[in-house]
Amino acid sequence: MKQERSFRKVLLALAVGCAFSTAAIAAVTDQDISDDAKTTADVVSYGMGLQGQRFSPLDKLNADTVKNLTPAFVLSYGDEKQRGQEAQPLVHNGKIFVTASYSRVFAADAKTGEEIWQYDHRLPEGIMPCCDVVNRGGALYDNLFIFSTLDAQLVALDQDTGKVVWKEKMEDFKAGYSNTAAPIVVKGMVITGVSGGEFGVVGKVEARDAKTGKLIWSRPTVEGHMGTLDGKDNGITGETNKSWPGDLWKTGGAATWLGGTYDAETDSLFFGTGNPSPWNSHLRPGDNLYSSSVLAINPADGKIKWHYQWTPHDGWDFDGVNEFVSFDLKKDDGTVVKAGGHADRNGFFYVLDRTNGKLINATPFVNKITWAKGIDLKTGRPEYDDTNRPGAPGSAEKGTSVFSAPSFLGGKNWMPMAYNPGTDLFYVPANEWGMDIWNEPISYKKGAAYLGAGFTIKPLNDDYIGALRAMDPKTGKIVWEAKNKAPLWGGVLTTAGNLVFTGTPEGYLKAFDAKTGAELWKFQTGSGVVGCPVTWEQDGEQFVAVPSGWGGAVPLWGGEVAKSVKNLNQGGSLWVFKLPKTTS
Amino acid sequence: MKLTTCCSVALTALLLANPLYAGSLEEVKAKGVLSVSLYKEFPPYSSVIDGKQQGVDVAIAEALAQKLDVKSDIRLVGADENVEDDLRNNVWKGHYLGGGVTDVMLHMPYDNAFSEKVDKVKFVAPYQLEQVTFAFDTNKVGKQPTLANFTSEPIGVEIDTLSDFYLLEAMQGQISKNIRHFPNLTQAAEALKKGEISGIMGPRGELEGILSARPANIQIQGLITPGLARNNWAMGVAVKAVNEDLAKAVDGAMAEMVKDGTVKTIFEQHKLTYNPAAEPPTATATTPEATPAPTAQK
Repeated sequence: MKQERSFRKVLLALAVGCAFSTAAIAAVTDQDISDDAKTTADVVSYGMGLQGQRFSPLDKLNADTVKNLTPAFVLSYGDEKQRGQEAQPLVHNGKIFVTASYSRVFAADAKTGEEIWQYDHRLPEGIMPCCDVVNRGGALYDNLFIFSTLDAQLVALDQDTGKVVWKEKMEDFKAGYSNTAAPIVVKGMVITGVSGGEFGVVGKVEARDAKTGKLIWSRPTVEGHMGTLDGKDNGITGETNKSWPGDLWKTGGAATWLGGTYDAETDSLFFGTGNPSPWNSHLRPGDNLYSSSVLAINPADGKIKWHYQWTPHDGWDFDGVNEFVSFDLKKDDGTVVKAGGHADRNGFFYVLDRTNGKLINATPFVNKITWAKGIDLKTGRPEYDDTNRPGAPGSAEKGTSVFSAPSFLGGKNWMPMAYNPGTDLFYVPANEWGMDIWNEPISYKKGAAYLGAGFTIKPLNDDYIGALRAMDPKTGKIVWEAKNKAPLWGGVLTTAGNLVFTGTPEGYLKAFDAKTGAELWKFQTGSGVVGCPVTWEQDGEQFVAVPSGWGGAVPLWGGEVAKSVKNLNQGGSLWVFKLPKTTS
Repeated sequence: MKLTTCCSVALTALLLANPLYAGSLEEVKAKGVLSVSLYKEFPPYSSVIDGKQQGVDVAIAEALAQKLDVKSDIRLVGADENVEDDLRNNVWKGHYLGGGVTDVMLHMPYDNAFSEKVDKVKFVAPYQLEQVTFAFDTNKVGKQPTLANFTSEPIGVEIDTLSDFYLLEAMQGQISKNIRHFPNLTQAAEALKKGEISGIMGPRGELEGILSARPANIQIQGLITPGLARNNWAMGVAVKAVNEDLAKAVDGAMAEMVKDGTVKTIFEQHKLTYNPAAEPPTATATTPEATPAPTAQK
C-alpha cells in the first residue's frame, strides 16, 4: 500500500512536469491557490483565497471611482433552465469560469464575454435535491475545472475545451445524495463534503487526488463512523454512541453540504456540519456530535484536530454549515490571535481561536434570538431558553406553537460573508425572520400517517428582512447596517478600495462604503442576485463579476416571506463590469 | 398556411414530448390513457420485479383505468419529505426538475383534516384502510408479546416513520435503545428472518407483503400501543382539484371496484389482508359535507 502511494507520487510529479513543459502559464499550481488572496490578476479558488475572506487588495475601484463602474458584458446561460444562480465565478488565464443551475458550466473570454465552451451535465431521472438546483462554483487546478453535480458526482473538465478529464461518483444519488457546494483544492487534493436531504445520510469530508479523482481519505462527521485513509481504516470519528441514544448515530445527519475553507498557517481544513437527524430533538437526547459544528481537520490524514459545536442538541434545524473564515484578530493590547469568524444560522456571530477551537466571543448579529439567552464564554455552550424549544412529537393534539427566531433559514444562510483586513470588519448578509413551529399530527409521508412539524416563516419587520451588517470581531458589535426589503441570499465581496459588494433579490448589485455602509453604486441586472461577486485586474483595468438569477431556498420554503418575493423574475446570466482606464 | 402547419407540428411535438400533463376527464378519454403516479420501490404496493411493474397499487391502477375505458400509464416516483411535496411534484405542479405531472396518484391519504391543508388536490376514491402492526419472532418474545418485551429485545423500524417516532418515546423511552433503524422494511424483514432483531413495527400491508413467505416462528399481529394517537388511516386517490369531472369519475369507478370485490380480490391475490376504508379515520372525521365514502364490501 505504501509503495503504491509513493509510486503515485512519482506519477504525479511526472504529470506536473509535463504540464509545465507544455502549458507553463496555463496550469494552476498549489502556489497559485495559496497566493490567491494576494494576487489580483486571477481568482482561482472559492472564497478568493482558501481562508475565505473574499477580500481583494485592488483599490483602483474605490469609494470615489465606483460611480464609473460600467457593464463590460453579459453572458446569458440560455434555455429554460433558469432558477437560482448562486455561483462564485473563477478567473484564470484570460478566461472566466462560472457554474450555473442544473449542473452547468460556462467558460468565456474574461474581457469580451465571448463564450469558449459550455458543459451541460447530463442529470439522471430521480434526483431529489432539497433546495433548488443551484451550484455554488468550482475549483481550478492544473488544467482542470472541478465541480460537483446534483447527482453527487465530481467532474473535472479541461479548462480549454470543457471536455471531461475525469469523473468520480461521490455518492449514490438514489440514496438521496446530491451536491451543490464548490470544492477546494489543498496540496493537490480536491476536498469536498456531501449533501443529502433524506434520512439516513451521514455527513463526511473527503479528499481526492485532484488530477485523477481517486479517493485519498474520508472523514465521517458523526461519532461512531470509521474514517479511511488510502483505503484502510483510519480511526473512528469521536466516541461511538457518546452523545446519541440507541443506533441513531448510524443515520445522524450532519451533512457537510456547503463545503469548507482551509488555513495554511494552522494547516487546517474547516468544514461545517448540518443539523442532526431526526429533526425533532426530543427523540435524540444528547449533544449529537458532531452535528451543527465546525470541524478542524488535518489535510494530511483526515483526522479531526478539534471541533466546536455551534448548536448542541439542535432542535431548530439551524445547521452549522456556514463558512469559518480565518483572520488575524488584532486585540487592543497589540497582540494578534489566529482566529476564525463564523456567522451561524442560529443568529450568533462567533470568534474562535483557530489553533484550538476555543471560544473567544459570541454575540448576536440579528436583532431577535429566542432559542438561547446567550453563549456562555466560559463553557462555550449556549444558555438555552427551554420554553422556546419546539415540542416533542407523539401527541394527537396539535402541539403549542413556539415562535422561534431566527427561522430555520437562519440569521445567515449559505451566502458567504467577507472580511476586510483594512477595516477589520466582517460583512455579514443577515436576515431578520422568525418561524412559528408546531407539532403537526395530521401529516403523511410516503402515503403513511406521520408525526410532522408545521412551520410558517415570518418577517420580523414590515419594511425589511435583509440587512447587510458590518460586525466588529473585537467587540462583537454591529458597526453599520444596510437594510433590504427582500431577504439577502447572495455572497459578499470587500476590497482595499474601501468597498463592499453584494447583490439583492430585487436584482441589484450594490456597492457600499466599507467604513460607513453608505450605498455608493447599484446596477439592475434584470433578475435576483444570489451569487457571489468577485473582482480582478486585467490589462490595467479592474473588473467585477456576479451571476444573476433569482432562486435558491427562499421561494421554495419562504412561508409568508414568499409573498414578498413572488413577483421576482427568474434569470440566468453572468454580469461583468469594469472600471474603464480613463475613469480610474 | 405553411406557418400553421409548422406550428401544429411544433405543438404536436410539444404534446408528445410532454405527455405527463394532468388532464380533465375529457382529455383522459381523448388520449385514451390515465397516467398514474405510484411510489417506487414500495412492495407489496408498487415496485419493479423482473423488469415489470407489480403490486397491489399497480393492479388497482390498471383496473381503475380499465373501468374508465382507457389504458394506464404508471410512473413510479420517489417519495419526497412528505405527501404535500409528493402531490406538488406529481399531481398539481410538477417537480422543478421537470417531468410534468400525472392525472392521478394512488396511496394518498383520505383524511378530511389533511385535505383541508391541500386545496390544490381533491382526495377521492378511498379503497383501503392501512394500520400499524407488528411482526415478531415467537422464539424470542413468545406468541403473545406486549410492547414491554422490546425494552429488552431489539425491534426494527423504517427510519423517520410514525413507528420510529412512537417507539423512541414509548414506555418512557425504555425502548429507544433497542430500536434498529432501517432504510426500508424489506431490509428490516431480512434482519428479522436472520434473528438479528426480534420484532418490527410498521404498516400491516407492507409487513404482510414483505413477509408473505415467512418461517413459522414469525408472526404478524397487532399489539396494544398506548399513546399512539393514530394507528390506522384510509388510502385513496389524489386528483388535481381543477379536474373535478375526473375526480368524480375516479371516485365512482373505485366505489364500484370496492363494492364488486375487485379491490378485495387484488389484495387477496397478493396475500394481503384487506380492510376496506369504510370510513375516514375517526380522529379526523369532522367535515360532514365531505365526499361520502362508498359502501364497503365486508
